[in-house]
Amino acid sequence: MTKAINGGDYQATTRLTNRQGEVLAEIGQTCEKVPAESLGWLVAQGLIVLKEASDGKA
Amino acid sequence: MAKHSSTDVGFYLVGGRDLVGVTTEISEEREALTEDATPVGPTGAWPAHLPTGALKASLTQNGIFDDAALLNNEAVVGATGGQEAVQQVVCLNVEGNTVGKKMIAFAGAFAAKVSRLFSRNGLTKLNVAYTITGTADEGVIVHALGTESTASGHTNATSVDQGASSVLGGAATLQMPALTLGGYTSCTITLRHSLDNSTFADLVAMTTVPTATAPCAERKLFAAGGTINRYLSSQWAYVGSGSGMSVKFLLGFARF
Repeated sequence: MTKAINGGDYQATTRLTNRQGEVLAEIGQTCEKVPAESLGWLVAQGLIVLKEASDGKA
Repeated sequence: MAKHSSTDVGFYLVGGRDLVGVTTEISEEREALTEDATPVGPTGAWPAHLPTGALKASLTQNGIFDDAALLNNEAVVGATGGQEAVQQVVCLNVEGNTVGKKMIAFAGAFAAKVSRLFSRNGLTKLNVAYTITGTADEGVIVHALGTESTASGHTNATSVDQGASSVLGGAATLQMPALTLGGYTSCTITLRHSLDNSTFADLVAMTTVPTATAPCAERKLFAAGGTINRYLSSQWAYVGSGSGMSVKFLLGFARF
């Protein structure tokens, strides 16, 4: 069973907005506002990374 | 596929100057360079040529001479001359100035041969034969040539769907004929992308433009290896504070 990705565990490496232009996350901010369906491809492309990894704790 | 005519030409931009209104003819050519490889013997009765792999683009324009600001004399000769030796970014659109339509961007165009023709009983003409030192990119319009008057904005809702993502790199081209900062310190144009047309991320930020450099044009490469997602959009944003701002620009992108 695949564990669901939680946006709160990730932070953005680039600025993310939605289709209406609302900012979902600035660089370094966590990704709670990012829709769940977008998290997978953002992780795969390195556009969001685990907070621990970016903090050097991983 | 569709047929097009001269009335479909949406823009012809040279270094940030739109020359559509003073241009009567544009010709762009591509050439795959070949070498004569005709052998001796019976098989050489007819010539044989082999491609060298080298490509060459060329561009010429004919039109009416106009030395007003932002028109053809300023673009290719300059106020005091010397513009002929400046490498320029040139963009041509023959399908209409609409988001998603095709455009061609020439990376390094020298107005190598400028002809100003003065004749009795006729308008003065200005013709240019460019030497292209670089590529001719077949791209799409992400932000149509037009003016935006808000402090920030985007085209996410009218994104360009290119059908699939790619990883072979690409080139973003910006043409900015006019910029009024209205107190702001600069304006930044950004190319954005999305896989699902829901969440958009920055792809290429064009160089921040202070007012002193408009009109201007720029081509920026996105290296192969990174993903360029299928949906493309644009964003503009000013830095600082002010009012009465406006920016006229075109943003296009070509995938390799």
